[in-house]
Amino acid sequence: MRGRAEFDAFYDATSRRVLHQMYAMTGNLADARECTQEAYGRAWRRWSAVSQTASPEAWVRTTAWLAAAGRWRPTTWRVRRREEPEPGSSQSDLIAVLRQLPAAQRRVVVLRYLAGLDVDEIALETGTPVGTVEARLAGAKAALAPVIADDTVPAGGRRE
Amino acid sequence: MNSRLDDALSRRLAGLDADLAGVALPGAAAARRRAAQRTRHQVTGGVLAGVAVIAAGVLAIGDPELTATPEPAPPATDAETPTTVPTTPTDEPTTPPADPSPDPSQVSSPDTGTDDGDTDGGGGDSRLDVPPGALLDLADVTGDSGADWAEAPPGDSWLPCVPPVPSAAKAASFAVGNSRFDHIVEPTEPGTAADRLAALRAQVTACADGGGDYDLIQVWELSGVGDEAYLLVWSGPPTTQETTTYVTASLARSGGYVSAVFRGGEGQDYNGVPGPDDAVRAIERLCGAIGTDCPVTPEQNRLYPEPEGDLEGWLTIDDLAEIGLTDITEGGEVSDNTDEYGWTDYGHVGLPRDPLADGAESLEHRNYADPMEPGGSALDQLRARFPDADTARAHYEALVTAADGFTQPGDVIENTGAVSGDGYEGMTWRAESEYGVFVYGALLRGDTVTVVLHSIASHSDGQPYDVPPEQMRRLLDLAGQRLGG
Repeated sequence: MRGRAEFDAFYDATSRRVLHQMYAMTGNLADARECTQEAYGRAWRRWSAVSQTASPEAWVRTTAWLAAAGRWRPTTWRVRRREEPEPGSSQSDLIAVLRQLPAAQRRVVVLRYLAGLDVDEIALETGTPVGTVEARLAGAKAALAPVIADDTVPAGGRRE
Repeated sequence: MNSRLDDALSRRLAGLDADLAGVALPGAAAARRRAAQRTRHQVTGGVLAGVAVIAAGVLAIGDPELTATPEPAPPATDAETPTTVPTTPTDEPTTPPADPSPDPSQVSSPDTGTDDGDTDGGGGDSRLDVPPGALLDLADVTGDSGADWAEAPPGDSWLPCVPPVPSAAKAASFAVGNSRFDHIVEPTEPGTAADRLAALRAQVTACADGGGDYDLIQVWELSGVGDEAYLLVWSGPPTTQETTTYVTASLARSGGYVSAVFRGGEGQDYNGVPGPDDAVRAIERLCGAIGTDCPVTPEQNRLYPEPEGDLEGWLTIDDLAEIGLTDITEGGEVSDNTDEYGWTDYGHVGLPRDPLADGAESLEHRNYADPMEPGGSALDQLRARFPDADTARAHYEALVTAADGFTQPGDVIENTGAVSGDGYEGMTWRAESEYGVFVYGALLRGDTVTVVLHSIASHSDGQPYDVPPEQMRRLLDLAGQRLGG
């Protein structure tokens, strides 16, 4: 079994990143924090197995996603709509659009553009055919394009 | 444009990090405490009869090293053995085999084997030598963990139940923080490697199952690695108020050699599945050193805790397979914890009725999953037992009414039909939302209400599947039949 020191090092190295990704996936900081911490707790319970997977971070991210989806313990993660803006968010427009996306689209767009996975890796992590991943990415990008249109101005332009 | 859009999207998503500036995660220690609390309340304990049989067999061996072990395992009691119904009559026994039970007179003590003379009649010491390069090295231990492992003086491990290094053996040891790794390769006399492995395994088992601070957690047979291999997990001293020491042993033999890897350290919990990597690496290294090809295609079969099997009154693995849930291979132990770490209600927002508040005397839970796939496909069944049939019926009818009437924004909930049979009646639902699909049902039989829950995800091979209403009704129907015994 891998020991506590290794788990702690893994936690320290990855937890902020997973929290960031879960925030983008859920659009809610409190939810992201809760399901991220829950996922690391589950990872520790199964650390000997999780530590030997190809990507323990992917395992934690998937588990956190499932926690958010209410799959693991539905009673502790009641699905709710999140229509209120995230207090203090500097990216409220982005958060608002992300919340409007279907959850599956939100997940793949975060995995692609924040976690940096390619389409094949997303397909593997989400258990979804490549074509479906591509379709979801296209749908998400179409919905997000108006919000980030200003950011596409080349360097030296209005916002960059 | 598309590339610019991609770049901009990446930048904007990365910019969400600014919102996390004041957000602190509770930390790794809090995650471990959270896990420990969950497990402490999930594990009901109890030593299965099969393991105690092993311990008894071990004690008959009389290995001198056993004198260093803690008290022997207590004898098994019938009361600790759950009522199990074999899945199939032809199942192989899963009791951890003490066999080949070495005859005490035939098992050479690790340190005295060379005194026994020549077993092949050739005269002199016929024991092999450990070839150079047979031991794992620092890079093997460190792997991609990122931990700062360092070499340590070989042998004399502080990990509980790790035996001394026999005189003819070679060993390598490593340490980091409160963790330690020991690898021992021991040559045996011709024809005795199997017996030596059995003796070593028995010795470790007897110690790890010794009671007190010692607790044997899991034993796995590992086929396809060398000639024979096992994984054992246990906990033991040193312990603190919050932690204990967990050890995983990878014991294997190949040709005339026995390889033993012990990896362990301080921890708060263990509820995972030991991996084969250490055993595979050790056998690969050993076989490379002696110049032979060895199998390294591991397949794990759990010996202890003995799989619960099918339990009377609960859905069976065959029931689940009948409706296509073939990824689910094992039902767990039944838990009746109803505190904050147990199940205090039916566990789904679409079944908004509290059985305990409605008078249930107990709420039992059983989870079905594949132990080799943590986080994989799973199903939950609960049974609420009421003091009488009338109270159970009142609760069931209120539950069905509440479930039929439940709604929340974004969810599409459908009543997918009723089931009935001799002495039982039930109802099924399907809830779809952006997060996925849940299928669930509730059934009344006598003084008991049982609930079945499943979240549809994908098979382990990534292929999608569904549990359509007729299949869910069939599953609930089977639950009603099982409930009747």
